[in-house]
Amino acid sequence: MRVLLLALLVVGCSDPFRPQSKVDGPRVLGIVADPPEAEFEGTTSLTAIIAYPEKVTHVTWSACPLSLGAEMQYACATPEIPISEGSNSIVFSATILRPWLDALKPMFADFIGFYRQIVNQKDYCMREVISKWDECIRGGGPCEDEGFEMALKCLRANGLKVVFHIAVTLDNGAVMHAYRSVRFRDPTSERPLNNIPRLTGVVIGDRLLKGGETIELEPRKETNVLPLFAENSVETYLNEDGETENERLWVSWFATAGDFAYARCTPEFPEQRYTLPGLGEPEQEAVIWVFVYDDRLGVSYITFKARPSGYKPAKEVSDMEP
Amino acid sequence: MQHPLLFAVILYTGIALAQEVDTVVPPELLYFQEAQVPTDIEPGHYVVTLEVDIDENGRVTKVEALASDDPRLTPFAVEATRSFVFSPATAEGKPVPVKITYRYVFDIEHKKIEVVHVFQVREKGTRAPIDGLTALVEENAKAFVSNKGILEITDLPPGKYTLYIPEGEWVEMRVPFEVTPGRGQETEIWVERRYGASYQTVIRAPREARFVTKQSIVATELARLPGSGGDPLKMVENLPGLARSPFGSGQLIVFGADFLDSHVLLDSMPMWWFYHFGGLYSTINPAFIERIDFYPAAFDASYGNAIGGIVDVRMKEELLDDYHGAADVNLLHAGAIFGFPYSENGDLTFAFRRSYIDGILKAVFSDQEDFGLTTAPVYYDYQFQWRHHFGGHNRLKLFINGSDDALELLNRRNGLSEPTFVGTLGMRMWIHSAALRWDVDIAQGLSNALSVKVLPMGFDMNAFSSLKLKVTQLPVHLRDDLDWRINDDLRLRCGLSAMTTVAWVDVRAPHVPYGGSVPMPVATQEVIEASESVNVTEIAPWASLEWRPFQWWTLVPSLRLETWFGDWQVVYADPRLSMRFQIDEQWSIKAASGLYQQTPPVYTFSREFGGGNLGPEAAVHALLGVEWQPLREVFVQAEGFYKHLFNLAEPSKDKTIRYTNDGYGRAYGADFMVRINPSDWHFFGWLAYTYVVAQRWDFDIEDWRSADTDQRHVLNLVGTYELPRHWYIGLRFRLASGYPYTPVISAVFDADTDMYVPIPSPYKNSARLPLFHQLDLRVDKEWVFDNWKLALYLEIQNLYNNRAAEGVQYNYDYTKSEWVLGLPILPVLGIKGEF
Repeated sequence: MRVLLLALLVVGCSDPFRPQSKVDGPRVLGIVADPPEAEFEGTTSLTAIIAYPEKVTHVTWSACPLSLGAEMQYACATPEIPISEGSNSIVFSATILRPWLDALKPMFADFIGFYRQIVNQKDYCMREVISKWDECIRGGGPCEDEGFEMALKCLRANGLKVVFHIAVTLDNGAVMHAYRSVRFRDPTSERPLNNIPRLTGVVIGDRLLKGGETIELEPRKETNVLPLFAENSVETYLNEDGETENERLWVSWFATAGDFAYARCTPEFPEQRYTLPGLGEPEQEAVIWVFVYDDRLGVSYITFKARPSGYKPAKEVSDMEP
Repeated sequence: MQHPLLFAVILYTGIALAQEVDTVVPPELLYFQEAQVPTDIEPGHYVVTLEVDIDENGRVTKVEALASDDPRLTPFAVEATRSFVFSPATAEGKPVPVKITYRYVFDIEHKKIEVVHVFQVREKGTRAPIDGLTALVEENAKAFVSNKGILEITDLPPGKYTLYIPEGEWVEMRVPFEVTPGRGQETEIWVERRYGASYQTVIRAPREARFVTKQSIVATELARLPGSGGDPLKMVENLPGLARSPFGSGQLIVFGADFLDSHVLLDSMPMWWFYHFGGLYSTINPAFIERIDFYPAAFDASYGNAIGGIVDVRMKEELLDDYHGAADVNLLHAGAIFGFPYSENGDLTFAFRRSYIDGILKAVFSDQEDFGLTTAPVYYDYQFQWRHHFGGHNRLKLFINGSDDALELLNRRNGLSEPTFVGTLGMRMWIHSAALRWDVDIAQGLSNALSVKVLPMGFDMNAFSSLKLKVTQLPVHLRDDLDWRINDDLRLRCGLSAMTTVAWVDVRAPHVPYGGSVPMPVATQEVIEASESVNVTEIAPWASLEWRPFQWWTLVPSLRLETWFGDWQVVYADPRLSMRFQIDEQWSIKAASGLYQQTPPVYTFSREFGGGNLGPEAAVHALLGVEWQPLREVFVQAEGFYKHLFNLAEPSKDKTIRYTNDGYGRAYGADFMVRINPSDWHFFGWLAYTYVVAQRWDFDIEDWRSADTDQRHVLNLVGTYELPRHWYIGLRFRLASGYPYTPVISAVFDADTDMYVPIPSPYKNSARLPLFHQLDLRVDKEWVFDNWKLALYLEIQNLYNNRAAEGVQYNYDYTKSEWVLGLPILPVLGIKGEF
């Protein structure tokens, strides 16, 4: 019986909570970075998609080039760099990173100390830097100049992962925090920069939606939904070991009203079902967002609306446009 | 008819307890009981040396045989001596209880006896020949005693008689028979025990000074307790010192130690794993198990490489006297065992078991669109045993066993929070083992046991093509135990444990969760890959000297030297000392302390996951306790303990080394137990309470925090009562503190993965799951037929349907939480046929 219970837990049947796809309040649904990987001193734009934007009173953006990541709750090794306030969209130029990095040179021992906490197993280049640094220190040094140059080469080749932090203040005083990474690196012909995965549309019932439309659906009736992936959405890339890998994609579904059968689906099992609430129930008109993610920081989305046949609008709910 | 010439010599008068020797006046024999003599004893002079306890009224309270010229005479001498009456021994003029050594001498003269009728006496259900059954010929009240299943009626004139077996150990029975002139006739009779055999054959080793806190329980006693499902190993966690394992997983959490710090052994050799998936059942058929010895702490150097406790599963040693078998069917599996003696000196036994829960679950999930069971949970296990005794002094045993568990789920939709957990989740674990053991009695008081065991095994898990763990391992173990009883007060045990193993590991997974951590979404963690092999060899000689400088004081210094080669090269020594003070017959005090070291957690051997550079983890155990046995049936103990843990594997913030040996912790507490031993009270059970504080030093807040295993209070009340006609009723009540956990105080959105990342409290393990309590009931009924027995049991777990909190689960953004609930009321029905 314990195996049965375990199996039930594994497939999530015992989840007693409202699903992630149900949007019933202000929330950061996603942050799109375009491009998700940029050249080392290049530019990227970031857009936060926020549900119930009318309840947002303030937005601030900042960046952390040396973040400890999710496992350390995005603690930043240096004070975060303030970028912008008031908008849910920014453009970030990484040219500011070079002087910032140069300023780290005198503190290179601290930089190494920090990097020990975040260096990944597959970051062979930076592991080599740390190893040589240790060797050099044991030998009596000085090591800063050589070490700094080696680290810079690693960062340019493998990328400096800048973590952007958006703090969204709501009208009730609560603050929501969200984090989005963009990698800045020198592309090569073997390892080009990642592209955003895209959907060409979503088929609901027998209708193809490409974004921005409104569709009428029979209330309380389950409708089949199918995401359509753009050609070449799944990119092939060389991993750190020089092996070819395919990206893994998934689709996240959100709606302000009605129910999706699943919070997420994948290209292997893409089918989805959606049910609108009945007439007379609150939140009859639904704003729907469909995000597509890859596992290399790429994300895009489309949005549309669904309303029951015979619906008379009571209020407008939309995402906050850039 | 025998005419034994009997005389007694008191060789030695024991010490009246707590009295001086020279003030004791020995008892005198006032009434002598003549012993019966088996008919197959040759004429001659025989001596049976007995140890006799005499109370202050001169009555014999206990008789134990110390030596015998012919073991066939021993039970008759013991039986007769029980009827002796002495004058009380006195100390300073006051009657006192004493213990004496008594030589019961048989001088058997040759005399022709006439056997007029022979009964072959066998036990119903087991067909075992019965020794020592006393029956009367009703017409003349003459008593006869069976020997090896033969009851000979002698010296009766021709006529009709009735053999009468009085109600007692056996069901009352009358058998008419006729004595005719000429040759005596033979009759087979089947006699039924009034109560189960487990209440008649109690194995109790004397309390050993080297294991000051040992619990030893016969497997058949455990198997009938509620919650066992017929599997004795599952009841171990109800003993004092053990925490309730999370989710009934079967993990041994001993005195607050991590479950990896304790070992389960089979005849002192490693088992590596002993449960099928999820702790459902052990991988060994219970019919092979004689008893379970449990050492929660402070054991001597004969066991090593564990800073927690030891469970040593002891297999049956007695050879089969007839063919025997059993078939067992319950909700989860069906199994069978069959064994037979191929000669007086050897036997063979085979067993096999297979689960069929896969069939049930596949039927349940067949209409599920979103996920399916491509390989439902299925397990099997098998055992083969060959035993042979050579010349009475050499015993050889080959035990081959194995198990295989497999499970595969297909998740077509993502019902999980992890975005890429779609596809198949497969798991398989298998093990095959062959152990050869050679026991030899070299000389009087000198014996040796040598065991060799090889056990290839594998574990293979693949989770949605995202994570995998594949381990294949080939360990070979060797163990030698030499036992030399130098004299009554000195005993040397020494030996060698050796092991060599090579393991091939292929893994892709996040780092192993740290103590007190909150589970993080896998998508937000670094996934580490490793494809490595590890080769280590252990050679560990040890010695343990049991010295009794005084009758009331035994001390056991012991030392273990561990030497490791290969990919882990260390040498260390563990000195230990234990002692027992026998205050009187009822009271004893025990104390022990020692150094215990072990290999660091297995994952730290990986260069990628653990740095591969750690030294041994260590603990100092200190234990003080008292035992009281006011009656043969009642045993009471209370213990206090302290464990200082150091050199523990501690996660490092430096990801280039992963772990250091900087961790340290402590565990302290006490336990209390009252145990009612099996007896003619027909009740067996215990009350055990354990209080444990298990803590680890938290380097972030620079203070002590609760360890993950910190279950403060554990109360177990377990008992089974045997009613007439082979009905058994048992109850188990458990009360246990919830395990600690680290609460989540908020969460932030990770837009890279569409996941929320929990922000844990800086105070790890500062919250606790609610109190666990559960009542289980078990009813057994056994029908005894001449050649076989049929048993039916109904076990109702969680009788009052208290679904306990086993963990915490959160909604997607950690703003809401719920308990992960355990099993509801669960009835389990089982049936077992045995012959």
